[in-house]
Amino acid sequence: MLDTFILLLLMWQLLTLGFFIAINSYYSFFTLLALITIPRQLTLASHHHINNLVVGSYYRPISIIVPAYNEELSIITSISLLLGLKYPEYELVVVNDGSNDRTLQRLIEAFRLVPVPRPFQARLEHEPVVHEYVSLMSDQLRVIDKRNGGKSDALNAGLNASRYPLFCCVDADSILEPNALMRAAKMFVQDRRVVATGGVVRILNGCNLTNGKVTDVHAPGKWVERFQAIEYLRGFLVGRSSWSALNGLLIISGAFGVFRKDVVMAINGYRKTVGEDMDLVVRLHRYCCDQKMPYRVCFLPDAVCWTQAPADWHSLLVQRNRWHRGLVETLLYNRSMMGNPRYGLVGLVALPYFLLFEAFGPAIEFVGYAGFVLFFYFELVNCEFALLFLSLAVLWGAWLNLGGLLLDNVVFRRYARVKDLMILSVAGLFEFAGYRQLIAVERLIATVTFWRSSWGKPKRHEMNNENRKAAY
Amino acid sequence: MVVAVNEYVYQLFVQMHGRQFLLAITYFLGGAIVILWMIMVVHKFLLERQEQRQLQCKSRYLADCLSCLGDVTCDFSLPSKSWEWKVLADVLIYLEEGTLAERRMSLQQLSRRLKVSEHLVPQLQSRFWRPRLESVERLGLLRLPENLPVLRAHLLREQDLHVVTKLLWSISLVGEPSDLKLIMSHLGRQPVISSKFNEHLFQNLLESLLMQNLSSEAALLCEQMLCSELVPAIFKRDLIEACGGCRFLLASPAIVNYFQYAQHDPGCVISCLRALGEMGGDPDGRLILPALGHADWRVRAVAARAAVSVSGAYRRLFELLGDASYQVRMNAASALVAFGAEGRALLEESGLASQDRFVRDISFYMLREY
Repeated sequence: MLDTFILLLLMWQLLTLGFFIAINSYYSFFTLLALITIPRQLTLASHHHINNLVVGSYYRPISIIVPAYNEELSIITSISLLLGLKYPEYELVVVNDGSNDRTLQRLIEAFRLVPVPRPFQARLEHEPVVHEYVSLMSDQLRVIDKRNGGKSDALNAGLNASRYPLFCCVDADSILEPNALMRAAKMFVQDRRVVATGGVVRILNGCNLTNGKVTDVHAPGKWVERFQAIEYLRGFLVGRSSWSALNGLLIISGAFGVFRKDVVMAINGYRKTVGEDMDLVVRLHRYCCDQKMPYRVCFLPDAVCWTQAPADWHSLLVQRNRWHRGLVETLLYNRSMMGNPRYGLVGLVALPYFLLFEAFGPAIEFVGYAGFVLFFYFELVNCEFALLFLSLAVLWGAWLNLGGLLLDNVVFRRYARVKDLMILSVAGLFEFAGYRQLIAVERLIATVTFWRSSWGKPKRHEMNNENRKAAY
Repeated sequence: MVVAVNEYVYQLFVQMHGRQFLLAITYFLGGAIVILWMIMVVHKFLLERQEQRQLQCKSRYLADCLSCLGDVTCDFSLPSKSWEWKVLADVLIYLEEGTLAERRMSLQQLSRRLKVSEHLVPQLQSRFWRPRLESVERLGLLRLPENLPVLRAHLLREQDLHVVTKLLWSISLVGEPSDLKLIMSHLGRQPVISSKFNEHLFQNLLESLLMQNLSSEAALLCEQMLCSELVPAIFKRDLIEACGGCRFLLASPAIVNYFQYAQHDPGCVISCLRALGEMGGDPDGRLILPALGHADWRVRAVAARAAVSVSGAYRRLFELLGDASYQVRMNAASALVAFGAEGRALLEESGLASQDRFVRDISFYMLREY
C-alpha cells in the first residue's frame, strides 16, 4: 500500500517536474516577447503623439468610476489627484459603498458636496442609492452614496450614474499618472475594435508623492513589499503585455482599466464576485466572440497607475486569497469557454493556461514540495539531483525576475538609483526561498474555499502627498 | 519496488546525461543573471549619459532658435549627428505647438533655413518601421507644406499600418484640397480605424486649409464630398462632425443640403444637427426646431443641445423637459440654462412649480449647478 502510494507520488513528482519546466519556459518565452512588444507600444505613444491628443479634439470623453469602501485614509488624496488628470473631458463618479468609517464625511468636507435630488437611471441592478452629491468645488465630481453591496455592485451603480461612452474604473487607494488616462483611452480612437484597455499597476510603497506626482521611485522598505514589487513587474510587463500581443488578455486590473460602456452594459455590467475584474474581461471575450464582432482587449505598458500594496504579511495573504478565489470562481463560471474553438485563442490557450498554471498551479506546486519532504523521509532523494534541481529552480526564477526588472529598467527606468535595482534584484533572487511557497499555500487554501465571498480588506495607510511649489 | 523504480528513473537521468544537462543549464542561468544585471546597470548609466547630452543639446538649440527667430543672418551651430538633428526637430516642434500664426511662419522659415526636413527624410527609407514612424511624425509636426510630396510619395509604398496611419495624420496637418480624396481613399482601405480618427484627420485638414486662406476651396470640397455618391455615408458623417468641430460656418449650406437628402438616416441627421449647433449654422432653426419633435429620441436629444444657437427656442425647449426620454430632458434643461436670463427665468418660474416631479428636480438641479 505504502509502496503504491510512493510510486504514485514519484509519478506525480515527474509531472511536477514537467509543470516546472512548462511554466518557466512560458515565462521565459513571454519575457522575450515582452522585450519586443513593449518598445513597439512606446514608439506608437510618443510624447508628441500624447501631447497632440491632450490639446486636441482627438479623444472620447470618459467617466472615471471610483468605488470606495472604508477608504477614509486615502480617499481625499486620490480624488484630488484624479481631479488633476490631463484629459480634455471627463467626469469623476465616486461611489461610497456603504462605508462605516468617515469616508463620506471626509469627501463632503473636502469637496463641499451638496445632495441633489437628481433622477437616476437604473439600467444595471445594484443596492439602493441613498443620496447623490455634487461638488461645489468641481463640476466634474459626483458622489453616489449607496448601501453596501460590494465592489461590483458599487461599480454597477457608478456605471448607471456615468454619462460618457467610455468608463474607467480606479481603486480609491490608487493614483493615476497625469497622462495615464489619455494613454489608456487613445486606443479606443485609433482602433475601433478595442473594447477594453488596462494599464500597468505599480507599487507606491517606498515612493515619494509630490504635487500629486510620483517623483522619487525607490524600492520599498519592507521585504514583503519588495517581493510584491518584483512580482508586479513580472506579472504586468511580462505576462500581460505578452497575452495582449496575442489578443488573449484575460485580466485587466480592477485598479485601472478603461472599457467601452455600451459593451459592458450589453453583458449586464459587473457580476457579483470577488474577482470582478477578471470576470468582466472574460465575459467581454465571450460576448464579442458570441456576437462574432471583431474586438481587442489591450494592455498598455505606458499607462501607469500607482497603488498601495499590502505592507504586512497578513494583508498580503488576505489579498492573494481573494484574488485566487476570484480566479477559480471566474474559470468555473465561464467553464463552457474552456477548450472551445468558438472562443479562439482565449478558449483554446488562455483559459486552459489559467486553469492549469494559475488555478491548479499552487496545488501541483504544493504536492511537489510535500512529495520532496516525504522522499527525503524515505531516503529516496538523490542529493546531487536534488541540489542541482534546487539551484536550477532558484536561478531560473531569479532570471525571470531579473528579466522583468531589466525590462522595466531598459524601457521605463523608473528606479533612479542603482541601489534600488540591487535591492530588487536580491528580492528577485530570494523570492523563491519562502515567499513563493507561502503564497502557494495561501492560494491552495483559496482553491479549496473558492465559494467564500468575503472580501477581506487589507490594511490601508494614508498617502503623503507633499505639496511643494514646482521648481522652475 | 519503489526503490527499484526510483533507481530506474535515476539511471535514466544518468543515461540521458541529465546531470551534465542540468549543470549546463544552471551555469548558463547563473551566467545569464550576471550578464542581465550588468546590462541593466551599464544600460542605465549609458542611457542617462545620453539623455543628459540630449538635454544639454535641447537647451542650446532652444536658446539658438529663439535668438534666430526672424533673423536670417543669425549664426546657428548646425547639428552634426543624426540624434542631434532629431533633437533640433523636436525643439522646433515644441516651439510651434500652440503658437500664433506669425510666429509659426518664422519658425517654419527657420526650419527651412536649417534644412531640418532634409535630415529627417532619409530615415523614411529605413528597413525598420520605428525610425520611419518617428520620421513621419516629425515631418508632419514641422508643418512644412514642401514636405507634402515626400509624404504622399511615401504613402504609396508604405506597408506598415501604423506608419500609414501616421502618414495620413501628417498629411492632414499640412494638406491641400486634393489631399481629402487621398486620405479618404486610404481610410477606406483601413478597416480598423475609428470614426473619431477619421474626424480628427478631416478636422486637421480643414484647419490647415483655413490657415492657408483656402476657406472657399474647403467649402467647395465639403460640398462635393457630401454630394458625391461615391463617398461612403460614414465618411460624410465624419466630415460633417469635423466641420462642426472647427466651426467651419462656410460649410453650413452643404450640411443643410445633406440634411435634406439624408433625413431617413438618424445617424446622419444627428451629425448634421450637432455640427450646425456647434457652428451656429441654423440661426433661424429651420432644421433644428422641427428635429425637436423627431420620433427618434437620439435626434431630439442632439437637437435639444443644438437649439442653444436658435434664438427664441427656449419655449419649445421647456416643453421638452417633459419628454419621454431622460437624455432629451437633461439636454433641454442644460440648453435652457445656456440661454441665459430668459431660460433661467423660465426654469425658476415654471420649472420649479411644475406638476411633474422630474421637471421640478431637473430645474432645481440645473439652476443650482450652472
